[in-house]
Amino acid sequence: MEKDKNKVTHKQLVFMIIQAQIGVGILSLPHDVALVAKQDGWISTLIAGAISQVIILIIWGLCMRFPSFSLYQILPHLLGKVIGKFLTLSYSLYFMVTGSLVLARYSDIIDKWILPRTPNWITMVLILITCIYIVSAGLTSIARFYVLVSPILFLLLVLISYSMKDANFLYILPIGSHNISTILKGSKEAAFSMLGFELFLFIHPFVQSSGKNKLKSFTTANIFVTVFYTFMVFASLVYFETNADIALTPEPLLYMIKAYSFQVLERTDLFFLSLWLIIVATSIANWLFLSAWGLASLGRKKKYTAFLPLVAGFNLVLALVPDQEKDFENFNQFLGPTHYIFIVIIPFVLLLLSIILSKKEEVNKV
Amino acid sequence: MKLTSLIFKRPKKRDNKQNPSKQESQVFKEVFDTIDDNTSFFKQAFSGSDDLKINTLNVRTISGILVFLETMADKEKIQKDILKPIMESDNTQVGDLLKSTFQRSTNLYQAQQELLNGTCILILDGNKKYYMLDVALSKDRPVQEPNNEQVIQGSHEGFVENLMTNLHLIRKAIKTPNLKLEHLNVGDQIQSKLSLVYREDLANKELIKEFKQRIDGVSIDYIPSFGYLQELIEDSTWSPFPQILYTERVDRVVGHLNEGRVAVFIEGNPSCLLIPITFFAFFHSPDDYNSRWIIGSFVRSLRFLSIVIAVNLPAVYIAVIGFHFEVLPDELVLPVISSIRNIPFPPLIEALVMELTIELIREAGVRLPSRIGQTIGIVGGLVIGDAVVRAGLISNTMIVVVAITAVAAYSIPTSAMSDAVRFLRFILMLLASTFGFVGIAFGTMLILSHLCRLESFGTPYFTPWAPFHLKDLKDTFIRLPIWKFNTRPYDSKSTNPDRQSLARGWKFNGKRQK
Repeated sequence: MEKDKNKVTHKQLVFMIIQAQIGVGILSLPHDVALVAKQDGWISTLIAGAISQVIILIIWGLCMRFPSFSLYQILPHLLGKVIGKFLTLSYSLYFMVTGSLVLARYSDIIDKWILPRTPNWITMVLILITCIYIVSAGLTSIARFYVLVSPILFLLLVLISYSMKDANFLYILPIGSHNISTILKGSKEAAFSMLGFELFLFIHPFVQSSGKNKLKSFTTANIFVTVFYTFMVFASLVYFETNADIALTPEPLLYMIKAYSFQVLERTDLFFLSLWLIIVATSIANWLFLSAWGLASLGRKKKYTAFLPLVAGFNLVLALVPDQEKDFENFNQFLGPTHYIFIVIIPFVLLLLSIILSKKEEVNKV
Repeated sequence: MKLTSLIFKRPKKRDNKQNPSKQESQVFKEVFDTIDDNTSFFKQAFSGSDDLKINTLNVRTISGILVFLETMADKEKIQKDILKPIMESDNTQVGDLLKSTFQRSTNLYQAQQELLNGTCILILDGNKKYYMLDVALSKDRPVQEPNNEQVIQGSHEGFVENLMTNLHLIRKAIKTPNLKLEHLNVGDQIQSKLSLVYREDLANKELIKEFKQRIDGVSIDYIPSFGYLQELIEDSTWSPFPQILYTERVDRVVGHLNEGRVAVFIEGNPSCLLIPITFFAFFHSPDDYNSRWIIGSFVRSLRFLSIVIAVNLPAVYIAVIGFHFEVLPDELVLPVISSIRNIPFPPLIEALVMELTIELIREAGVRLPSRIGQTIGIVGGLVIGDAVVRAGLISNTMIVVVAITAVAAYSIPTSAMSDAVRFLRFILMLLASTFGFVGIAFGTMLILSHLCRLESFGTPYFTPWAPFHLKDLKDTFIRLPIWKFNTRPYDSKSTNPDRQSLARGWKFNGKRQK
C-alpha cells in the first residue's frame, strides 16, 4: 500500500504545471502587456508561450538524461558536491523570493479589492497556513488537489466570456502596427506570468510515464496556459480602449467583471476574486514546496515538511517589505535577470555539460 | 500541558509479550481422569459462579457430568437434544450417538471458552475426551428495517445483534460459492468475534492483507462496539470525516460486496463496516437504484447540493451581511436591511445561537421517547423560532438561513457524514465572520485539501474526483441507467472490473454479441 506514495500520473502532471503557471499574474497580465505592446499584446502573449515552449524543450532534454533524478540531485551529480549544494541553496532562496513576491502581490490585491481594513500580514498568514497544509501531505495529495481545483479556471473563463458581449473588436486593429521589438518586449512581460513550469525539473522522477508522454503533458499544459492567457489579454484588449483605459486599470479583468450584475448577484468581481484566491494559493504552495524541498535536500533529512514553516516565515517577512507600487517594480527588476539565470541558463548549461562530459544517469534495468 | 502530552504522546513500541490471559487460552490442558477433578477444574475456572451448572448423569452404564452455563445455554435444547436421545437409546447406540451429534475435544481450556458461547459439555467417567454441543440460548430481535436508514421502496431487511443471523442474511442474498467468510478475534482480555465477508473472485487481496495486519496490530482489552473498532483501524482519526461506512441495511452491504468491497461484522452489533469507501458512497441510498434513473440522478445531485448548502450557507450569509453587503442586488437590499436593522447582535452571534439551538433540539430529541421528542420539536422549533424573532433578538432572514441549513444537513442519508458536515459549518462560520469571502475560500480550500489527502485502506477518499476518474462518475453525483454500469468502480480496487457486457442484449436481437 505504501508503494503508490509520491507517484503522479501524466494526466495529473498537466494540471500541476497549469496550476503552477497560472497564478497571481493573471489579473495584472493584460495591463502589463498592453502597457508595452498596446493592441498587439495578444501577439506578445502568444510569442511568450512559444518562448516557454523552447525552454520547456531544454528542461525536458535535461530531465530525460536523468530520468530518476530531480534537479536537486542532478546539481551535485554534475557539478560536484560544493557547487551543487551552493546552487541548491540558491534555487531554494530564489523560490523563496519568487514566492514572497507572489505573496506580496496577492495581499496587495486583497487589500485593494476585498479586505481594505484587514492588516496585510493576517491575509498572508492565512494563505501560508493553507498552503502549508496543502503541501505537507506529499506529492500525490498535492496533485489530487490541483486537479480538483482546476475546473475553477473554466469558471473564470466563463465569467470573462460573459463580458465579451460588450466588446468592441475594432479595438485590436490595426494588427501588427508595432514593430517586432516592441512586441517582444511585451512578450517579456507576459513570460514572467508563465513561469512555474520549472516545477517539472523537480517532479519529473515521480511521474509514472514514458519520457514522450511527459513531454506531451508538459506541452499540453503550456499550450493551455498560453491560450488561456492570450484569451484573457485579448478579452481585455477588445473591452477597453487600449491607449487610454487599460493604462489606468491595473487589474483590467476585475474591472471588466465588476460592471456586470445578475438577478441575485451584484459585484461579480468578489466571486471572481474568491475563486482566483484558490489559483493563487496553488502557485504559492508550489514555491513553498520547491523551496522547502531544496532546503531539505541540502542536509541529510529526507522530510521536507519540517522546513515548510521556516520557508513560510521567511516568505512572510520578505513579503511585508515592499510597501508601494514602486517597491514591486524594484522587486520585479531585481528578479528579472534571476529568472533568466535559474530557469533558462542553468538548465541549459547543465544540459550542455551533461552532453559534453557525457554524464548520464546509468539506468539499471532490473 | 498534560492534556496535550496525553494526546500527542506516541505509544511506546509494543512489546511482544502478550497479555497473560491471552497466553493462557492457548495452553493445552488435558481432561482429568476423575470426574471430581474435572468438576473442580470448571468450578475454579468460573470462580464458583452461581450460573455454572454441573449435573451428574447416570444412565445405565453411562456416568458422567453435564456442564453448562445456565445463563447462556437453553435448557429446553439440552433436554431435547442431549438428555432425551441418550435416555432413549440403548447401550450400543450411545457410542454412535455421541459420535454423530457431538463434537469432541480433549482440551479443557477450549471447553472453558465454548461454555461462554453457550455450549453444553459432556464428560464421561474415565474418558480422556469430552463431548460438546451448541445449545446457545438466543434472544434475538426480529429482522426489521433499521430506523436510521429507511427507504421508500426496496428491501426492508436490516441486521440484528446476532452475528450468525447477519451472515445468514448475506449468504441468502449472495448465493455463490465465491462468497468467503473469515472469522477473526480481537481483544486481549475479552475476545470479540469479527467476521470478514467478501467475494473471493472480486475483493482485492492486498486490501484484505492490510485489514488483517491492522487487526493483528490492535491491542485493546475488549471491543464493546463498532465505533471502537472503526477508530482503531481507520487511516486517519484526525478528521471529521468517517472513512469507514457503517450500515444496517442488508441490500447496501450486498451491493458493496458485489463491487468488490469487504464487509466486516462484529458479534453483537447490528452495524456492518464497509471498506474501502469513498466520500461519495455516504450520499448513496438504495432508493436511488430502485427509482427511475433520471429521478435517482436528480435526487442524488440534490443531496450534493445539500452538502454545499449545509456547509456554506450560514457562512455566506454572515460574510454578506458583515463584509460584502454590496453583492446583494438593489431589490434585495431593502428586505434584508429591514429585517436586520434592529438586531442587537452581529451576524455571527445570531447564527451561532440559532445553529446551537437547533443542535440542542436535535440532541434533546434523540435521547427522549418519541412522544416527548415531538413536544421538544414543537417547543424548540416553533416556539423558540417565533418568539426569538418577535423579541427582536434574531432576524427573520437568519431564521430562514438556519432552517434551510438544518434541512439540508439532515437530508444526507448517512448520519456520520451529516454530523461531519454540521461540524464543519461552524468552522466556516467563524472564518466567514473574520475574513468574509476570503475566509470561506480558504476554509473550503482547507476542507478540499483535507479530503484529497485522506485515504481509506489505500483508496483515495475523494475519488473519482481526486484523483479524477471520468468512468466512475456514472455512479457518484448522478446515477446513470443500470445498463451503463459495465465496469466496477475503480475505488474498490476490484480484481475483476468487468461487471456485465450487454445488459440490454434483447435490444440488439443478437446483432452485436460480445
